[in-house]
Amino acid sequence: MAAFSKNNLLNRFQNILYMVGQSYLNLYRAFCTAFKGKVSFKDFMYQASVRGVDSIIIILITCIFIGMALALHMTNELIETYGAETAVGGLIALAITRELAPVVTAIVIAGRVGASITAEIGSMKVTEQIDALRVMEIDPVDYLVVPRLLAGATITPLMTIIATIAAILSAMYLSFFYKELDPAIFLASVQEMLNTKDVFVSILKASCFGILIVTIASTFGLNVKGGADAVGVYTTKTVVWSLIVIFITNYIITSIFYGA
Amino acid sequence: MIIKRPDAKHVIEFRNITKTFGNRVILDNINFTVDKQEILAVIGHSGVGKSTILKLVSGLIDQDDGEIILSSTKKGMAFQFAALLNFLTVKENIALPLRKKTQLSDIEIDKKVHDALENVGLLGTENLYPPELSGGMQKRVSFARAVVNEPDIILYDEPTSGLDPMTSTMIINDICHLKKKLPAAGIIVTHDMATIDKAADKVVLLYEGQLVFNGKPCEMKDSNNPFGIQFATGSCEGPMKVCIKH
Repeated sequence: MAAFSKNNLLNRFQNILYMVGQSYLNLYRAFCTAFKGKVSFKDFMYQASVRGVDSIIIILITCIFIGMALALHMTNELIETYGAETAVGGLIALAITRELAPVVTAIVIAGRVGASITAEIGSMKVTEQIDALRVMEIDPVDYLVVPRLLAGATITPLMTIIATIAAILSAMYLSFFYKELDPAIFLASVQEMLNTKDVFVSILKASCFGILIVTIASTFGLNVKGGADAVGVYTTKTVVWSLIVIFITNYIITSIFYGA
Repeated sequence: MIIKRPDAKHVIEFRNITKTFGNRVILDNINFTVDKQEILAVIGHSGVGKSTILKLVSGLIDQDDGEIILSSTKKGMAFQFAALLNFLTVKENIALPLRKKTQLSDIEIDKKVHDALENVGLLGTENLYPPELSGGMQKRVSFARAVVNEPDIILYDEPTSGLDPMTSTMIINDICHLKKKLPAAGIIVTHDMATIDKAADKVVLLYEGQLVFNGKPCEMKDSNNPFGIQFATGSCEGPMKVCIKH
């Protein structure tokens, strides 16, 4: 019951507010630095390539299987129950583009990239490397967070586009092999139902998720206190909070663009 | 907050510095000065607040009360565990403060890095990464990084802790060499009497937040100060209660 005591809950609420404030400040400072152009292109490219390579295989595997599972459901229901084979491709593409691809990609990036950023920066914190930067009057946000933030904002949409294509193609091939749905009909349906707005919202969601994941991961990393065990605790917190923020942000963006 | 005063009489001056963590008073009304080309050793048993003094001078934390007056804020710090950035090579680590804080050309930076590595006897390690170096070598690279931009204040956090006697001697020699070469003021936090005897010009001994000895290294054993005598001789008997009697 101690976990639910008034003081404990108050402390937790204060900690959450503190981390939200810190995240906002870090994001603001990172944007200021990025807009001033004070970013090392080499660092950005390194981060983008490393983070991209880290996550691409997992994202592809995840989205290919999600696309196939979705195709199983859709072909069963739409073709067998309603005989609406011309709607299969379009509905699958809508579900993948609007919701599944950006959210699943963000979840994978939170687990793979977000966790690694917190572990990396957290280890630097506990081994005094962040202090060393501060003594050299190098701002850790400028030096460590900004290249990662730009990399996150760039690779997440890119990965989402790749994930969307992979999931739609895998759904198309499964529909063909499972229900002999002609790929031409499938693709014509995709072309008919999917519009530019869907793609735009998908990329917008992915960019927001990428920025939020890196901001949360960096903030937790910079706030690690204690030893190596604290790095593990903060890495877990990064994944949990990233997931919560991804789902909330996803709902907000969806309601803005499709709510009316 | 650190007050920068270019015309200050001393390079580093602590005036009535108080620092607490929670309810615990770590530093209570501490005063000392360090001048140009002078090294002050800060000693005391573990947890007494020695590293807090370095963090205050380096600006990593703020004091609760009192004034820290520095004649220059150009600082370099050699950390206890080196604190080198593991994703950068030795050369990139040493060049980092020059790349970020100066307008020097690549050729000039390369020359300064070369000179800094030569000073600590580590030429040839430029392209190695920190995990490929021994603990002693990492500390010496940390020295090279701390002095590469020719700072006016050099801070050494436990430079010889965890090292074998030969590597410790090399490190102490490096400090003495740097002291002759650079007109900087230095603060060494250490437990090691050999470091104090060879490298320090002045010693301050901390105990329970108070400065209980302030003098020259040679005065520690010879003076009538019971704290200085106890620390210098490593005795359990004396005014400092740090030993458990069996």
